[in-house]
Amino acid sequence: MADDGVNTKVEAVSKATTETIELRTEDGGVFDVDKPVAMEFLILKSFYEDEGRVFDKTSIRLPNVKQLELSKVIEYCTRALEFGAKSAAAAGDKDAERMVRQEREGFEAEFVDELSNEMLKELILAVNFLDIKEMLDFLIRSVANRIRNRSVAYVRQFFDIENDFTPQEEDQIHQENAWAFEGVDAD
Amino acid sequence: MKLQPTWPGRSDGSRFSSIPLSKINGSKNRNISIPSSSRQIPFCSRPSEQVHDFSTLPYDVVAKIAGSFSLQNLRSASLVCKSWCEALRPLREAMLFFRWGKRFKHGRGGVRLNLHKALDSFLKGAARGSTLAMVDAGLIYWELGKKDKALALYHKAAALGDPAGQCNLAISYLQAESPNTKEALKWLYKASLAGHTRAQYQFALCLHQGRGTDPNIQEAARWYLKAAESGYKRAMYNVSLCYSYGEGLVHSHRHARKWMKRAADRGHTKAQLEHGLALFSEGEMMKAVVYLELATRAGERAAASVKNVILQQLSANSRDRVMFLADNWCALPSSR
Repeated sequence: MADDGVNTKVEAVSKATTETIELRTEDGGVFDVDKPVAMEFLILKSFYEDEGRVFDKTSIRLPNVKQLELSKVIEYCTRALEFGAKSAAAAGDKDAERMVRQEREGFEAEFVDELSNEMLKELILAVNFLDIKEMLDFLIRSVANRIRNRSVAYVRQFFDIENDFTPQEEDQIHQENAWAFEGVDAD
Repeated sequence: MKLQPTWPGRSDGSRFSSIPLSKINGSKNRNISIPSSSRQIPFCSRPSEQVHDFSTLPYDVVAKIAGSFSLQNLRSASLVCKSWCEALRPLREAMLFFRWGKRFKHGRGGVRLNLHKALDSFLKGAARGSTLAMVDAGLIYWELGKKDKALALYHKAAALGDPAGQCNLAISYLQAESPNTKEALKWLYKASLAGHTRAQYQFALCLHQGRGTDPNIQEAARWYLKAAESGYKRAMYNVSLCYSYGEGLVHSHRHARKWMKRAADRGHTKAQLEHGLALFSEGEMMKAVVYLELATRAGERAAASVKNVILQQLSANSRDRVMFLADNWCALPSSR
């Protein structure tokens, strides 16, 4: 599993860019991921770019990610790339652009609707680890929408977090910026 | 006592040091080494039954989640647990500056109106991550004629997902000397999806007028309706016209009248004129003349002649009543 400690130079094979990269999750899942999709995971991308090497089929273990999450991540990133390509292809054709927009809108709404709260949280952790900016922003917005305008108790329950404030500490937070927490003046 | 949030098992702080690469069986077996800059610490694999502790979400993730929260929601989020409280400290500070900015901007809360102090406060709030402060700072820059700076702030807020920032950015693009309609549409669409009423109206306008895209009255009507349902009076007026002409919406006199009245009641001047004229043709003289009087006062010259025709037919008592009603009329709240 760990490297054998030997710094072996890899000879770059001319034009032998990998088409897929094998990713292995901590719970034994194995995924063959298209390279462009895998390169959306910045945690992988900079690793590749660091070396400037061309790897043949490589297997990377992702310790912080489980199969279910990775499959969702791959699904989203693959579609995101497709939409990007469709958008670029449709540039200039207003009708086509609009269709791509609506298609993407529909996909994202459905994608997030199908996610349980638990799944949404797990995905955030996975995507944050993999460093996929666009998807992270999307998930964060979705979570924000689910807990916006909810009580403290709801948010705690949603994230399964225990209240570790003492009553005095809670009071202190209330006091701290009490005047700032009165209703914001309307503009 | 909770430790600083770090990834469980990650003790070295280096991002990429701990992804082990393994060889796979096959003819092209290569030894792949981990970059020498990293340490050779194998990643601790966590037991599968370990539950994710969301109180240890990285601070920046928590801050992003709460990034566009209202003050109230920010307070709730700060009370969830200590680590979140700490994570959201910069945002709370930002809100304080935002509040000060508002006070200086409007000259209330015990301070005199001072645009420059307002700007200063908003900029401090913006620097701490408050998109609300960014947008307000942008507004002041715009007023001062520093459009580049305004645009930069709007863009920052827009990129962080703030619909008001997105809307303002788009409008700036549309009003520029060489309008960038493509970018404007992109941001209007995002803000519209997020439910920003003014953006929905502007987006509908672009679709209607074929700005940056082919004219599409059906989609325009759809967005006019959304904005109208959220209380935007200009959208209400346009919805009425769509129903009236059967453009983008099914032709319906009843719905056209309904929306025109709604717009009129919220103070839309042309709507008051149209509604007044419609009431006149329906024989509702007293009601008609009140709306026409309101429209005249707001500058709609076309209202004056019909209004005068009606007034001449009224008794002095009724005329007084009309003026009294017009004097005491209040627009219903309309979203901005």
